[in-house]
Amino acid sequence: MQAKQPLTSRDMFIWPLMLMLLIASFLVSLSIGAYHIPITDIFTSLFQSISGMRKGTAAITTMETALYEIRIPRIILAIAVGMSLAGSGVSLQALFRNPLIDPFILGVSAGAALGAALSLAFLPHIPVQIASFVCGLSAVTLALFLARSRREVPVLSLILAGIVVSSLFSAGIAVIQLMVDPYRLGSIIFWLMGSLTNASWKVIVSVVPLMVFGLVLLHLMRWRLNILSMGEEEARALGMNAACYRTIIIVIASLLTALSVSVCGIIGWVGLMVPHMARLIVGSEHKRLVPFTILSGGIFMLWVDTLARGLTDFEIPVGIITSLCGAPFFMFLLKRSREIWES
Amino acid sequence: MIEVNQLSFYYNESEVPSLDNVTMTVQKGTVTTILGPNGSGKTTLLKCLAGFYKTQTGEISINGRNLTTLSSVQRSRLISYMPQNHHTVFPYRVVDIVLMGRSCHLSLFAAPRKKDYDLALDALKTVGIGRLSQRIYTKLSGGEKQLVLIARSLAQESPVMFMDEPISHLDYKNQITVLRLIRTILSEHKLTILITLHDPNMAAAFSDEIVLFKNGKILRKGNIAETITSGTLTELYEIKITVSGEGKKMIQPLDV
Repeated sequence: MQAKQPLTSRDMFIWPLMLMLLIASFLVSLSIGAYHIPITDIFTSLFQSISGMRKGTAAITTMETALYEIRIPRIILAIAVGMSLAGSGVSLQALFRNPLIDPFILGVSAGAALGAALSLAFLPHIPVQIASFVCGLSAVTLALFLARSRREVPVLSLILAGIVVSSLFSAGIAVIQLMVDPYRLGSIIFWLMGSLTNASWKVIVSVVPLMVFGLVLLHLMRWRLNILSMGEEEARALGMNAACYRTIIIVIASLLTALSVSVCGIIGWVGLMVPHMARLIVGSEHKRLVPFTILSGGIFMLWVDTLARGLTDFEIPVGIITSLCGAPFFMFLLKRSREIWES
Repeated sequence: MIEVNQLSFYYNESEVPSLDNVTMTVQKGTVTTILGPNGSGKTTLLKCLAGFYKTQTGEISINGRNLTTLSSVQRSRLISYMPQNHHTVFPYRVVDIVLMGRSCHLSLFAAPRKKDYDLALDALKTVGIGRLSQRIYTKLSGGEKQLVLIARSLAQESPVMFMDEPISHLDYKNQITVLRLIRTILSEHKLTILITLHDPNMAAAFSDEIVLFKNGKILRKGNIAETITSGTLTELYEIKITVSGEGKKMIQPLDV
């Protein structure tokens, strides 16, 4: 019998292909937007900047301002957010042994939304990003605390606690929306819809390094997700301290989600859809699935955001587009899931 | 070799012990079967011996090492445990399931290498299902799944093997296949195997030693002749049972 090696011929093609797709998407996306920039100009400008051939006195054109100060940061942020949400989604799905889990299940999004709403409505001196990040992580902590009994955190209790915390925080948001004036209400609603308009180098410096750190950790632990997905007792039998690893992964996944939500609001469905699409292509085994999901998440988010800013003259919140794609996709998934998940 | 000395275990706040003063020894190179009615504590005993639960009193030593002093990795290098209820959500390939047995030999951030793949494929060949290595585990039949789990225990390369009702969901032929396989593995790898079973006929046919277990206590232990008698089985199951035959035992319930 032909022994299948860790590296199959398909693997050899798939990773370079994904990287090339990411780079190509990056370049194409650079030229799309309210202000069209021809690809040739982008190449010229990028080449000059990188090779240092730019003449010191040459004026920075409008095109270059748009390119370097707006578009490149936004694209980088879109990729990082897509990777984070997808990476968080795929690892939580494995952990909770449920393919229908999304990264917001533990209350991160509701918490972050409440934080943002508080900041937008009443606490203008606290930046929205910080308020939502702190509240997002607090919500998960609360869920973990609620679910904890006798030094253990049962999976089902944790999911229920996440739902309870989410609904509690959502009620808080509704109360704030009732109390504020229409102008602030508008900004809260826009924030809730999710968008990458806040992208800037400053934002990137503040969140992307942590995201990369979290994603690298998830990537390194990817094979262990197979074992964790077999349930706590089996993980223990196979020599893993399941409770400890589970907490580590929940912390990383929540951090990634909270960071994403804090800079771009609630962008739903990415963390659910991308892992599924990835499973259809590379299978369920997490050693391959995790890196593939992370790369796909980046590419997917980049394209959705490019659509959001290129489709019309005004900016469509990207959360709306992902939800528009998400609902039909979920229906497709439910139809299909009968054959995939039934054993 | 497994040595258990005066082991007692209570679930949480329960007043009644689930395991009551259990003392037993399992010799290297033998299959010992725990036989007992539902709820007698067979699974609890296996789980305590595998280190899943912290026992209140008593000592467990596996190959001369005190179980409580071992880390989870050290423990699973010593003991493999095959669970009774096995439910996999994700459609992994068979070889990926077997590779999980390598977990205790790999460092935290490592993934299996070629050597581990080869070991996993060898283990599958040993249990006779090498051809299934690339198939989807969740789509296999019950018997095939059980063989995959045995292969995983083999890939774990631990000298002690626990199996909780390894044949409970299998048809008659597959029950025999799996138990025969367990005996083959035993003689080839010099393991210490402890299993739980429901069928006294199967237990009598395939075990070296039998432990009759009831209400968390050992009713009787010893070789087949000592444990499989009309009297002991009647006492164990509380129904009239007759045992006939010398050497090969034939166990039948009366009043059917």
